[in-house]
Amino acid sequence: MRSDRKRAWARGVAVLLAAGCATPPAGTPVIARVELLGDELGFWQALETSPRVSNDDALHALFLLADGKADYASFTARLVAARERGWVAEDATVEAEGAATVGLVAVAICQVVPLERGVTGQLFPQAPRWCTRDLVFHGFMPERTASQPLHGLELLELVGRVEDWRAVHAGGAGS
Amino acid sequence: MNFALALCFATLLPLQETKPEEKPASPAAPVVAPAVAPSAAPAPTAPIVAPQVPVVAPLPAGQQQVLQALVIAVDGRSEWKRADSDKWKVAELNDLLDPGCEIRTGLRSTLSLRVGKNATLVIARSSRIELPVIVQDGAVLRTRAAVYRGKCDFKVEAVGVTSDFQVLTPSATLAVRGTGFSVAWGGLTGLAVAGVDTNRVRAIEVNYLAAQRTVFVSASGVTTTQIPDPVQGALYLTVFPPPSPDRQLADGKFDPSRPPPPPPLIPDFKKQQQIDHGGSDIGIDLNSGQENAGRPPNHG
Repeated sequence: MRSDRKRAWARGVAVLLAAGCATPPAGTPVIARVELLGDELGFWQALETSPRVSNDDALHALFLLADGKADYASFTARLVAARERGWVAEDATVEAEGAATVGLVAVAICQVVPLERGVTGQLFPQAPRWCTRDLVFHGFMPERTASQPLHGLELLELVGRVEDWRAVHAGGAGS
Repeated sequence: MNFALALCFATLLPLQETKPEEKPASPAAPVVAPAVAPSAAPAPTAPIVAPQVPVVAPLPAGQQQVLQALVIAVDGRSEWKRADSDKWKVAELNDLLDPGCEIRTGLRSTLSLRVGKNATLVIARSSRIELPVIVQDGAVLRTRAAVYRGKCDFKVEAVGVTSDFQVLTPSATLAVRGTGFSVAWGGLTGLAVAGVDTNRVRAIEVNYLAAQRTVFVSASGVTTTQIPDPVQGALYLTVFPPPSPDRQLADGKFDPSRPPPPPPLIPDFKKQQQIDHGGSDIGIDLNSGQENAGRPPNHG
């Protein structure tokens, strides 16, 4: 019947749209390689070739940026620590192999460095959208939205810019 | 009459300035000089000697000497490896690196290298670079540095022989004729090159691979992937964009107090083309003055 065919087409288009608009997973995290757990420089180099940074890799990178070390042995431990710091909302579903978003990284960076936040950023300090906009305003990254994924090289440059900011404003080493 | 003159003088006299009474000068307080040992002689002034520019002797034609890089300063954690090895070694002071070596630095780390006979590199945080070529070919010092990511400061000295110094990045190549510059490459913003103000004109030639465009950086100019032209970048940094030609009045005079009109819904591509290609008739229709085109000329 014509109406059945139309319904089938509509269902197919809806499935395609839903699948096409979703962010594809990032694949196996780089940090899943055991030898990189204690090798910071090896981790950064392996991250260069990631087309999409996974949530697991992003959390590991953020702990290296914040503390200078990341002693968590598993994604579960990293996620628990990230929730305790307020980087990830309590009710947010985060998968290890899921693609890390700009918003996730921006929320963590806004807590790692004492940035001057805008009015809305001060009202909603852990909102990915406003954290992203504040990072863009301060020149850490070009125009990005909170839901965009990150390439490995992009995360590396973002981490480097945070280091530069800290070296200038906090008198950190390595300037 | 005499009384009038006397009255005038009497009124004028108070108008004269009276000198303030000069107080007798008080004796100046004695200045106590700091105690100086009688045997201390004034320190002799050291003669000012101009810094000696190192001069590199050219090699005989056809002869080649492979040079090395020396680690001269380490801050934080950095590693390097040989070209034919997969094992990374922690960088330490006075390490000698052969051509083809790869260097990487961590967060909060910098590494300084003396490369060959005429260059100094300071590799900043979270960077990875490679030095594929460090050689002297006769009278030419040939050096290649590849910046894979991060930031690196270079200083190339004039040492009496020709210097062929090139920097390679994933999106551009640099040929250096100047003294100092900084190269940064990242995944977010691409390439950023900044020269030092002691560089000469057209000191750095930057060739953007994707755009197939070459720009020259003079002195302290800056070129980036977003704004390759150093002059344009300097303009944006120092002044705002020029006023819109739409602010002109009907008589062609510019009125800064007049607010700019809202942008048209459909852009005037023809006008924009005139603006882009410059000329004195900015904003004026190309056909202006051509109304009589095609008509016979007036002979009256």
